Amino acid sequence: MALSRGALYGIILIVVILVIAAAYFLMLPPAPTPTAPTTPTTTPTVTTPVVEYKRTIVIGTDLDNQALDVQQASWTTLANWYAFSSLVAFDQNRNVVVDLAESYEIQEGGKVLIIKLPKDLKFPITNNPLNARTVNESVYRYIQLSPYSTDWIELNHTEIIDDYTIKFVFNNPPGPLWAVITSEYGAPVDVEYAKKVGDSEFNAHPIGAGPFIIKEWVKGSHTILVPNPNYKTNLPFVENKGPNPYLDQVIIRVIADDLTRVNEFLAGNIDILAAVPPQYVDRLKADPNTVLHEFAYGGYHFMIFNLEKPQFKDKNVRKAIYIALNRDDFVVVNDYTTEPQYSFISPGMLCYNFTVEEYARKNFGYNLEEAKRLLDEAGWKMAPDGVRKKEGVVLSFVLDVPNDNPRLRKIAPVIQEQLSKIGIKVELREYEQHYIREKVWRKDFEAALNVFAWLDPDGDMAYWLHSGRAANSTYINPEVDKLFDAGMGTFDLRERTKIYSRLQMILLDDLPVIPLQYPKQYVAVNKNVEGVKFVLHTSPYIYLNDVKVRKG
Amino acid sequence: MGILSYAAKRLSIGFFIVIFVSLILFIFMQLLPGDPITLLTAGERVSQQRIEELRRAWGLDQPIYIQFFFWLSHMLQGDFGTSFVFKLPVVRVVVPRIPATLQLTITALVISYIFGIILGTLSAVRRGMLSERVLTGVYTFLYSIPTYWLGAMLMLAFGFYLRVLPISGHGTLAHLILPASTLALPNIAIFARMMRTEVLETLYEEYVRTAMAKGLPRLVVLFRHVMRNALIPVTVLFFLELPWTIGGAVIVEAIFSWPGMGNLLYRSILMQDYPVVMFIIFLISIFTVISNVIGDILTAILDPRVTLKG
Repeated sequence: MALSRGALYGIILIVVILVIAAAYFLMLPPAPTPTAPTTPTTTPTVTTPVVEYKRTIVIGTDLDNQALDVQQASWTTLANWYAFSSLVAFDQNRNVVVDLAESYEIQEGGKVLIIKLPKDLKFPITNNPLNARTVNESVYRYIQLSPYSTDWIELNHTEIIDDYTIKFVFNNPPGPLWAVITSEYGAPVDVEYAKKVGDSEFNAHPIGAGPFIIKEWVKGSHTILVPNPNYKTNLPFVENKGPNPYLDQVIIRVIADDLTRVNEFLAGNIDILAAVPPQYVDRLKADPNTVLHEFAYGGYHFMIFNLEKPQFKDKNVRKAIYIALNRDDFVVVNDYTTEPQYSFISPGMLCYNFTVEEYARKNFGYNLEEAKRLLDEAGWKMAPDGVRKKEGVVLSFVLDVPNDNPRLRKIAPVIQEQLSKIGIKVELREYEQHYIREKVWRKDFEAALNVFAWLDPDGDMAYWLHSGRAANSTYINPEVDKLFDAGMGTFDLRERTKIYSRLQMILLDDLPVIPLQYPKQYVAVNKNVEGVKFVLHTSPYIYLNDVKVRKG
Repeated sequence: MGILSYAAKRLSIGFFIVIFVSLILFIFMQLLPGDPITLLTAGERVSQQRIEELRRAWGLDQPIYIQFFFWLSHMLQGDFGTSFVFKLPVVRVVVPRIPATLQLTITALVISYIFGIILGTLSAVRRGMLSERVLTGVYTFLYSIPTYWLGAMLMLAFGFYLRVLPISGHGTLAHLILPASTLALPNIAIFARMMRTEVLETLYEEYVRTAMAKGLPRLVVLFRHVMRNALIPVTVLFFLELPWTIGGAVIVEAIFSWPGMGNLLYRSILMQDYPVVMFIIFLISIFTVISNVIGDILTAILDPRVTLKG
């Protein structure tokens, strides 16, 4: 009997469903075979369960390497940092401690820095010695190649005291240099090997003295690192000073899509999620297998004014804008992944002063009525259309918003709405963050949102606010320039904090920029990972020296 | 005209098309706001003076026509320049990514082709019936789904909740299934609709009606006479779709972290890495020209009614 068409389709559908179900069940791991309980014939002994560890740790991130040779890199990633350890480092309290170096000493008020190296340091693979000469050549190679060569601008000359001692002599104590030499940017490289193979080849196969060696980089996919057998550190906050005996390899997977990256972590395919997207923080917090670590960003978000525009020439207008912004709304709209920022150095940066932040919060906190009063006093009268005018000029401006910074992009319409309450009309225009920086340098802007993105206050802020270093700065205050120079001119972080505190008080009076918020950074760690340590630089450094990964 | 001489003539014209496309692309890249140097150093401790130095070192301070001429003259010698971002020769950056993209796009197209033919044929022979409307609805639905949403749903279903396939990555056949399916499913509609049209046209041809009148079984008529002719344009479409699918793979490669050319192209455009963008588009242009030539030649081979004319 021939089957009807409907029956045929029905049979095909059932077969397809059965095939899919069979494939699913076949791919499941086999269920453990139950064994019948046996009657014990001897007194049972308590045995400690044997913990098994994985020999590979997988770290997920969003950004691929730009260059493997840290001295040619415009930005660096974890892979760069694991391959290139520096001579000194910050500890968890932002004290400068030794890393590869045996000791360091500051002399002559910071004009001289002497670094002593251990006698047995060698680079991996080539086994070339890491001595004073190598460090010296590394520094000059950095000055020649790196886009950030001005990090060493105060270097007058170097002296090799002996094979393992190098002396740096500076024109002035280079305060901002700490942030550099405690990072991978300050790391020595195997210069002898670099000279032999050329910069291009060295960029493809670099050699540093970090805990790991870069074995493989598949662009857009992953980087594989293996332990450096010659690694030796003097970091005081790690127990294991040599190669990690529990790890055979580190795989850093690049997963640009936020959803994919988080799902890989939650599925257990990634052990450490280095770049947690802010919109998934709550989900990760709720996951019982996740330990979520939170850090302040080494920088913050701000609004900058073109002080040559008539509407911003009056300080009272700038102050009115400052106190009309309710930063708590920024936090809400960013799902509590940012914090309000009132002063000009955020908690994640060096030289942060809580007293200045509290002063700014108290005296420049949200106050709508005071903002209106300031504008009235400045002669900007409210017109019937709700926008203030003065001598026929409308109080409005174009605000350039970075479309590639989600947390700034979210607060832009909030700023627009908040300022409308005091009669200021804001038009939003979106550009890429780097282009906004260019526009500011060309003075082709009215107001703009942007980011200070380096943990040293001198590193980035000075290029916006120091009239001698910022290109075409519309803000010129010799006192501020002097304080920036003074802050740059000492190694002592306590002294620098005092200097930058005075600088911030002047900025609070002048308000060429308005701090808005600082983002929080998150690292998610699977609960099976033991022994991981963090030190906050601009981003958190994830130390694997003592890490073990339990098989889960 | 012979196949070889036709191919030679078309390819030589294609070369000039590729140069023209490169020029247009170069101009568009220059129109993007900003430049790669400020982008690479944005937000970091770099002075304007240093940026100017880097701009000069990379030749970005030269007029546009000089930059293009420089690129063109080196390209003709096989030197496609150095990536601004990776500081490596462009060829070294791009070429390792090609196999991954080809693997993904060809697999996706084969899936689309096979299922498109099946669904298109079924739609045609079931014309006017409920089953045809259901099938048309299915592949119209697949065509309408945003690629990102489809990829995310497949990843969540099969990768995260059911755990039967890897969520992302590259290296095994299992890694290929989800991204290839994401790329293939919307394309099924394209092949199915064309196949349906061709089958319907051929079904009403006189020779087909003659074959049926002669008493040949329906299935024999369908496979030996109808599909054989209907497959010609659909097969040609396979080659014409190939370059487009490479471009469409950008989103899929991003979702599944597939280390292909599409992902690299997207990131290079964002980073204004001109040399890499120029080289990838150059490759895609050549690929498009070659695919079109193959499509034309295949049409002439499969369909005796078609002759090649320069």
